[in-house]
Amino acid sequence: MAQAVAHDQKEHAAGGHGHGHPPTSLGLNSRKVGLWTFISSEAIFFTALISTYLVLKPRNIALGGPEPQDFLGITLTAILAFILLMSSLTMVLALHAVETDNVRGTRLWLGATILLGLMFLGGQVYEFNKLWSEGFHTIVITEPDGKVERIGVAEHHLEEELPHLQAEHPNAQIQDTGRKPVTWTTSLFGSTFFTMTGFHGTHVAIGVVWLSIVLVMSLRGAISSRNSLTVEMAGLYWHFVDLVWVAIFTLIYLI
Amino acid sequence: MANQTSSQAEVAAPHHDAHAPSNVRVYIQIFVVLFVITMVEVFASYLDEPPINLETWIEITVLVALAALKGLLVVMFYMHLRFDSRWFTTLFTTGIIIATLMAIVFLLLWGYKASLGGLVL
Repeated sequence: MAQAVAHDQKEHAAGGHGHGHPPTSLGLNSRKVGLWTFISSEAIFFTALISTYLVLKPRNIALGGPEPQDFLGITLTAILAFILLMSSLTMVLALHAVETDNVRGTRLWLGATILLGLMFLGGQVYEFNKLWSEGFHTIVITEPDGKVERIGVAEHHLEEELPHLQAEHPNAQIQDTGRKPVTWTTSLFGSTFFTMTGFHGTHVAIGVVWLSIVLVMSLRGAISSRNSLTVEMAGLYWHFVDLVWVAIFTLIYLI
Repeated sequence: MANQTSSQAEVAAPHHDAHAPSNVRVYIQIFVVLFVITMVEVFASYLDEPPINLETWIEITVLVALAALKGLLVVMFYMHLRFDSRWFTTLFTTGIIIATLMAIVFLLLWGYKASLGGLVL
């Protein structure tokens, strides 16, 4: 027993917090090194997805895809951003509770974080459903000189937009290619948007599962200040997921 | 056994001081700041529209700066990088630098290609 305590002391002195995971040669806890490396690689992964969306945005419009502004509402996503920020607060409060051996607080704040994560996922499902149920029309304008222009018009703007287009192009042939739903396959906007936000939503869902496992461990009495790293690791991942939404909210919805 | 419990408590106690000031008040203050920045961001997204009509690049600069500030606060205080080992900061910063460079190169390259022929692909 004394040896075990000595091991714990040695591990803590080296920056470790968990059991059975000795520090690296740098004196760092190997689980945390692994998670920070993973987070670092995830930052590159999500930057690639966001960059792809941004560079293909003009191409989507040139091909007569839907205008993102016609479909992406700021109000809903601002609420989702608030929910994730709130969940980051409850997550650090859960970590604080476990570090101070506040068992009730740990369970309460972990539960709150899970609930807020589920609310975020519910909001995302609502947004995806809304996009799928709405449609857009690609209007092909052929000028007398043969020049072709494609314009994407949201279904709910079609009636007001068509007379404008006819007035702007009096001699052109204007053809409506018909209604298309905003899905993963009908436009570059759909492909890049659903891939990016879908991956983020998947990360949130994984976070909810991870936190639920930690909550069950806490309910079984397996979580205390002695292994608070278990909560800290889940928290680091959760905050990173929030961080990604900070970027998506600004670069995709606000700009 | 009592000695062991005492030793365990000693092991756990310094953790709070060395790793992060587990200060609930700080956490709530950070949340309030993040909330206010988010509200400012929503307001700033209308800067290039009437009646303010600022240049779009100013709006984008303001929004990106505010998002970066939010990210910094989350990483420093909620992810505890401010109080944790500098190696973790180095690990994370390396990824962010690679990601930022990749995004810049990606955007410049596609912008250049678009300027050559209008449409890309």
